[in-house]
Amino acid sequence: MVATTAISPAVAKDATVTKATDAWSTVSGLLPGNVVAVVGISATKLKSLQIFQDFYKSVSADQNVSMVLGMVQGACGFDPVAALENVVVAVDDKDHAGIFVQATASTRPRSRRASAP
Amino acid sequence: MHRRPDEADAGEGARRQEDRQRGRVLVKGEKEKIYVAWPSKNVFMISSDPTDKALTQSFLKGKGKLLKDANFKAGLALAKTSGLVWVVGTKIDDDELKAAKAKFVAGTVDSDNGTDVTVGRPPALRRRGHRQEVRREGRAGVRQGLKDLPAALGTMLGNIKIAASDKDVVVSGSVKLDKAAAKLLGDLVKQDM
Repeated sequence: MVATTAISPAVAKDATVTKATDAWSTVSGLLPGNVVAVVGISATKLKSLQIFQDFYKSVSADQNVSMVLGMVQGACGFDPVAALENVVVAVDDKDHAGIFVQATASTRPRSRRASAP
Repeated sequence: MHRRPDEADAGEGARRQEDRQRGRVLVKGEKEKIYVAWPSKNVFMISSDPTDKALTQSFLKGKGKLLKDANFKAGLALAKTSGLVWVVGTKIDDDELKAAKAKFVAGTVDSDNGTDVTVGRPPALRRRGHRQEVRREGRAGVRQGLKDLPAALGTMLGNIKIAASDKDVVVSGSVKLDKAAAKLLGDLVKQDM
């Protein structure tokens, strides 16, 4: 099973840069003044913890979890857990969130419209 | 005008069935667009309502105005952005913090240096005796918090220190992340699944 969505290219032309950067250094220069909370998570540090490794081992043993991870890996061409480096979540004053995910690999699709393989 | 994902057209059911047979599942509302962005090569962004283009754009076109907010800046200076988890918030919902006229809350949980949480207070509250007062209040709060924690979680907590400057209250502590904690978290997740 592959989820297929119509995906636009970057919606903000002025925000589109090409070089790889740290998530917060990218995000901090973009966020508007109505953001009231920011949470940053270092996935790299999280993955290095023994507690995460034990936790991940037990969770990924579940058939549903391994199926979803396999599906994402098949569709994207990389292991989402291994590639994940940092996550920054910004919440605005209306409780809407912008989720920024930094990965080791480029997650950007090659074509303008992502589609199922 | 975007259709909501749940506003599927009449023929969609048939298409969805057809797609299932072909080994694909389409997001409900085939023509619906989900807006995502790549602000840099390796950073991907999606909003809490990815069908709302304006919302997605709002997080990308702010030109960093957030960094001009004095309260956010003060909180950011106290959070360690290289930590395991860090938080800076300027919307104070907690009644006690509101009463204390807190302007921001900043915190970091790190795998090597433990945990720091700072509540920033405005200059009006920087008075004589403030340090002793917050130490006393903080200790009482931590004691109560530890009492309320399940025993298994309580054993994970290490040293907790309360410190106060003339400006801010800092609660520092460490969390022992061991196999027992991993098992506890694993059990909690299994209960939810």
